[in-house]
Amino acid sequence: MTTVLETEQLTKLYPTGGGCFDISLSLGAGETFGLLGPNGAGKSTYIKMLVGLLTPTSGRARILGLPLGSLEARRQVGFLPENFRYHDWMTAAELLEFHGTLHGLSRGEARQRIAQVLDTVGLKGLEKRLVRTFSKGMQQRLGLAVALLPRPRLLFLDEPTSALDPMGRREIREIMQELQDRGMTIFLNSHLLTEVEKVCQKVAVIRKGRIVATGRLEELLGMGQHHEVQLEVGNLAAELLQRIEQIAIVLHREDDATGCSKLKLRVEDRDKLPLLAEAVVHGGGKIFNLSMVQNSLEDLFVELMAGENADA
Amino acid sequence: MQMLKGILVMARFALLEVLRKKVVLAGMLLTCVYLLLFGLGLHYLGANIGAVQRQLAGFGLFSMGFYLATFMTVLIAGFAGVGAISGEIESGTAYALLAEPVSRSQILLGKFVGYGLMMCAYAAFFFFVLWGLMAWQFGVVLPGPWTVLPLFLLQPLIILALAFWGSTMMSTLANGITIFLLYGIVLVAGMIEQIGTFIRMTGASAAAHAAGVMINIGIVSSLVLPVDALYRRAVFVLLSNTGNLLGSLQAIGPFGSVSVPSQAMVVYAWVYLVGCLLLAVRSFKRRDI
Repeated sequence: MTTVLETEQLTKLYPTGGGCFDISLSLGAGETFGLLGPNGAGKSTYIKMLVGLLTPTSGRARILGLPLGSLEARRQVGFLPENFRYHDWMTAAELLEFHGTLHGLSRGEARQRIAQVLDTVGLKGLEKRLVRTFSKGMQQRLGLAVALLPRPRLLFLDEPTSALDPMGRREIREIMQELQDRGMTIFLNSHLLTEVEKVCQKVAVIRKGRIVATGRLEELLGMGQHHEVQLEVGNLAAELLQRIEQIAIVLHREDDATGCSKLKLRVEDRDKLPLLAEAVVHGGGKIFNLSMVQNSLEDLFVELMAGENADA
Repeated sequence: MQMLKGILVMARFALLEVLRKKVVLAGMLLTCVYLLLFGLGLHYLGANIGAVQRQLAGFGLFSMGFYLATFMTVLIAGFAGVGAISGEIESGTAYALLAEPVSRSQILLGKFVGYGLMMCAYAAFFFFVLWGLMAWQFGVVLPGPWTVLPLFLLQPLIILALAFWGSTMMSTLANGITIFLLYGIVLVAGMIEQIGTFIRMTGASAAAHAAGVMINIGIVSSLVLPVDALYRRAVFVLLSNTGNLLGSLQAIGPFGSVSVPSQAMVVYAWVYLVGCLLLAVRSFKRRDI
């Protein structure tokens, strides 16, 4: 797989403190990568270095083998900034044509692409409207159209749904999935975990400017040292509970009126599940439900961010 | 070639911006009002006064009108330039623009070319209408318009370049305050220099030291910002060789030029302009957005 983006110990130190430190990440062609982190963690600093808005203090980075910040590298990149604003005295078509010209598109080529990208982002027919008359959500979609215009090989999206309502978010997510299907490489900065969970294959979590976890999403979600198990059992006698406690830690117990007990357990590995089932059956209990609780990205995020306030 | 193409794209963008934002329209409308008043002043001059008074008042009106024309073009150039870069950063439009495959020097120089062309067209119109009104309504064809025109255009261009440099380092507000206060200081220093030269001309030996200090204040201020010096040279060319004694007398008025800056100062002004632009490019390239 072609490496589209590679950074080695990329660092930006601000005079006032903060920034991001020693970030080493790589992104292959066609992948969708999510950089997660709370506000102020350094996500935007990292992406701004990659698109040439900030000069790194140290470290190396290459986009499609081209040096970071070079015009050749920037020709391969589309970017939707977080605090986006576009020249609102222009019409949508003029704005797109202007950005197309900066990318070296001919007038004819730009016109053809403008029609295509406006269609992609759902703004077809609004070419002649002034940008200032667009709602914030429409401007965000227009920003996405600007980013897509030069057919970038790598698309940077910095909080692309921050200004959108739930419907707008879904639409942008669908566009991202469509772009993924077309094989575009996407780098997504977001603090919206569900968004990242739905579209990204690879994820990195940044905290106070440092990467604290990175890998494929399924690897990260399974990376916890413990697994949680949901057990619903009837006839839970004291002796049976003791046997269960020898295999797992009981985190929570709830008994209902029918004599069924719902237990939330923690086990060290998945192999403990058959042992639990065996213990219940041999202990005279009735199993109504025995299942692993799937870790969510939110759980992982909360775990990784634990103690952040204490560190501050 | 690629560099030039990027500059031209940005220049076109800057011109379109000033046209769309109705900057030119507002500026031209008020300038026309100003010129109309100036023309009316010249037209009705001397309806009931003698020839000498008419000449004196006419040349006086011109030197004042020319001074204010300079002031207005410089003011507009300052307003146009103070937010050229900082405005893009403050409004957030810089993020998408600077990530495009166009160098920061192309963006800055392109915008300068766009605004500069607008300023040159405006200043040239202003100057020639003033000059033409003098010929048409007052009957005096002032000498050296083609010598004066570059001096007149250079003033707003210098302010524009300085404002561009400032806008790569400061906020729009801070830059605006700096530019306009600096210009005000230089205007006052220029007048002090004129007075100092006048004192020296009168030959009062007791005041020679004071006159020297006053002249030096003007020279230093012209080195800091050579705009007033250019004005003084321009007004000297226009009024000192009118072939009319009363016209030439205006050269020693408050808006005239007793102390005439040398040709070296004009060369320095060009170097100053280029220097400001180079420093602006350097500063913009280093700026984190």
